[in-house]
Amino acid sequence: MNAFVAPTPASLRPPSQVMRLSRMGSMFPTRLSFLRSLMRRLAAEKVKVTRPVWEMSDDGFGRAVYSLDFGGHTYSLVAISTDLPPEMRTDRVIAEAWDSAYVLYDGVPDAAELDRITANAPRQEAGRFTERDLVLSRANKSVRLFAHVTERLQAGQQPDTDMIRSVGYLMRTTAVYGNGKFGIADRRLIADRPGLEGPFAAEMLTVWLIRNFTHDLAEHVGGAPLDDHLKRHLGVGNSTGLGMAPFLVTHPVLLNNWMLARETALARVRAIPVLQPVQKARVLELAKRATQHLAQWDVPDVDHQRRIEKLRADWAGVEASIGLYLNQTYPLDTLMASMSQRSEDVQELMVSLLIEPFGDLVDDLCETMGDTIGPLSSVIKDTDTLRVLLEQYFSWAMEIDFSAPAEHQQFWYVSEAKQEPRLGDRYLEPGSELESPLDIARRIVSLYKALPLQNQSVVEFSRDVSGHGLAIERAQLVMRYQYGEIQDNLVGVGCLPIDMLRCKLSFFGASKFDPKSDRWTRITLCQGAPLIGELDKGADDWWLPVFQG
Amino acid sequence: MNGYSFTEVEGVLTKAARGSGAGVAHAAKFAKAAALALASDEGADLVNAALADLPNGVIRDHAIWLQRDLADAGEGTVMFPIGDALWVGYIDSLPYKSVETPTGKIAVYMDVFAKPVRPPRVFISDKNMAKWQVLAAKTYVPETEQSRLGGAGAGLTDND
Repeated sequence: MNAFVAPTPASLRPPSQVMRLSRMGSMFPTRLSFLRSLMRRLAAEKVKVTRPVWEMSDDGFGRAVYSLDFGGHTYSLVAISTDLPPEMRTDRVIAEAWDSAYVLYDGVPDAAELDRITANAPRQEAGRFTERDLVLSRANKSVRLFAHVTERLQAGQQPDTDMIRSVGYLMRTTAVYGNGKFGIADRRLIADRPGLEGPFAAEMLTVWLIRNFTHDLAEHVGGAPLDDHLKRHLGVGNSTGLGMAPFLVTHPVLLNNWMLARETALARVRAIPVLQPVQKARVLELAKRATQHLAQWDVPDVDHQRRIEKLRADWAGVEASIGLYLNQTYPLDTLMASMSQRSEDVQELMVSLLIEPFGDLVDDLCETMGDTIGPLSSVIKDTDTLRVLLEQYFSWAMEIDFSAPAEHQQFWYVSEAKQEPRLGDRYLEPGSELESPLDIARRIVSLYKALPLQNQSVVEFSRDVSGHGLAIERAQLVMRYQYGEIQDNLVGVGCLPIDMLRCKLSFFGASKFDPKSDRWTRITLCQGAPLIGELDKGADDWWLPVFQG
Repeated sequence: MNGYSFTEVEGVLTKAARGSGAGVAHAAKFAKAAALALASDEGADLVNAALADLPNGVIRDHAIWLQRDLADAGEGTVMFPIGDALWVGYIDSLPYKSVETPTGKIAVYMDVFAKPVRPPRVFISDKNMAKWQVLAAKTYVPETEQSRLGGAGAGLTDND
């Protein structure tokens, strides 16, 4: 079981503040993010990556295998690059072909296994996989940058630094599947392995190896090496849509553990009574880096660009004043408290900054972010107790007026065509009778209204009145997992799925959020992360990467 | 028989149960138990019978019985009768240590957390998987032009 780190509840920001969609949609990656913790583990073991297979045509089509020993096991990334006609290239889940496909394999594949993966991986959802296949992924080229980089290398030049900075990746993944999808290994088969215990660790390892493959592929086609400082800034892009959003609702234990770890980390650094000079300097250095990072973060979406520009302006004022707080007692607590009137974007950037310099104080929290057992429900025996508990923990839901059509205008569903989550308009689209159960607030209110005046056992109530099982389950979880519930109406017209996506992606370690609508976003992963030959050179200083052209 | 991941089987059976009329919570509990039960010879027959009985039958009753006995026990040890593979699957899905006793019962120690033990593969006949996928499909919403364009929110091409 995970080590349990008892927080000091009074020092934590309450769920009523933290678990709101708009704040979750303002989060930045931290040193607790899964890519960061994975890199530290890889670096601690001084992992070496080899490339036993490189069967690639001159124009970059073929297959490759990368292998590494990690935590007492050997893993291999099988990468397959195919010639994709431009008209078939789309990041949407409805795509049926991609520029490249990947499998993270348990061990080193022999020729027969390599042929099996080569036949199946490019088919993705239409393929079939085994328990030796741990992660399945695919990626499309950033055609613009990939072509530019390879053409420059072929001409004996390095690529244009402005293009490297503005795009930031050679390929972007459009899915990274784990945990049993399409026959690959269930998560629990590898969940106890050293290095892969953390949430999404196998997926993050896959992404990091894919990033390396994209560098190798560009150098192969270009016929010359890329400068390391350019490669370091070339991460892996990712397009993420609605498919990711329901996870946070259907995994309340994980959501709780992630948020609790982050809030506990913040509480710990706020409790530091006095900063040493080197710590003060580090905070100031990172605040400056945040300014530079924001300056390099531009997106095409007008509204989001405006939001970034406001954050830049606000942060400039914040950065200028940070030094005033650092000589005080409990400096970081005072500094964080001074943010209370600032925007949520500023506040959450400050949270991320304050955690960053204090690895010795917070990194152990990464061990608490998994869910090794499953939900441990509290038993609620009678309906009077249940009513009190609902009033105590779900008052936020009771405040929503579900008689107003706008408060349940949207509905989540699974599409027949792709069996993927979608979001529809209840009043304009068919299918709401098949709604997916993400309407937790509405179900809680419905349960509350259905509770009998006369006390009875919850078991009897469940038998007599159907349709409230999920709401009762959530109520049984909330006492133990107080950060496990998004405290907003997920079917209201005001629900923006992009907020859920950003929260989850920030825990992955994503940066440079580039929303394309309120339902999908592009991001960059591994930007600034160590290259495969750099794990022994200090692998942990890449929070909010900045490109030094 | 084809091998499937536990997650795949749990997923299709959750939807199959919902598509057959089970509530969300009951469907999820059933799917966990059923995926374990499928390791036994009688498992598939029990699963099919349970799905056929919906919206009544063991998918509803087992969840309620389990809840009742756990509520009565508090944090002590609960003694459950040994039943068929599906019932045992319900008990083995709990996050607590459980052992068979010499008196023919299953003791569940609610103060000892334990991970449910699951096989690496679940083997299912094509006929049964096809049957469950048909039931699961009752929870899917057919595509319309509007949902295709806007449901996932993305644009049509991404060639930059």
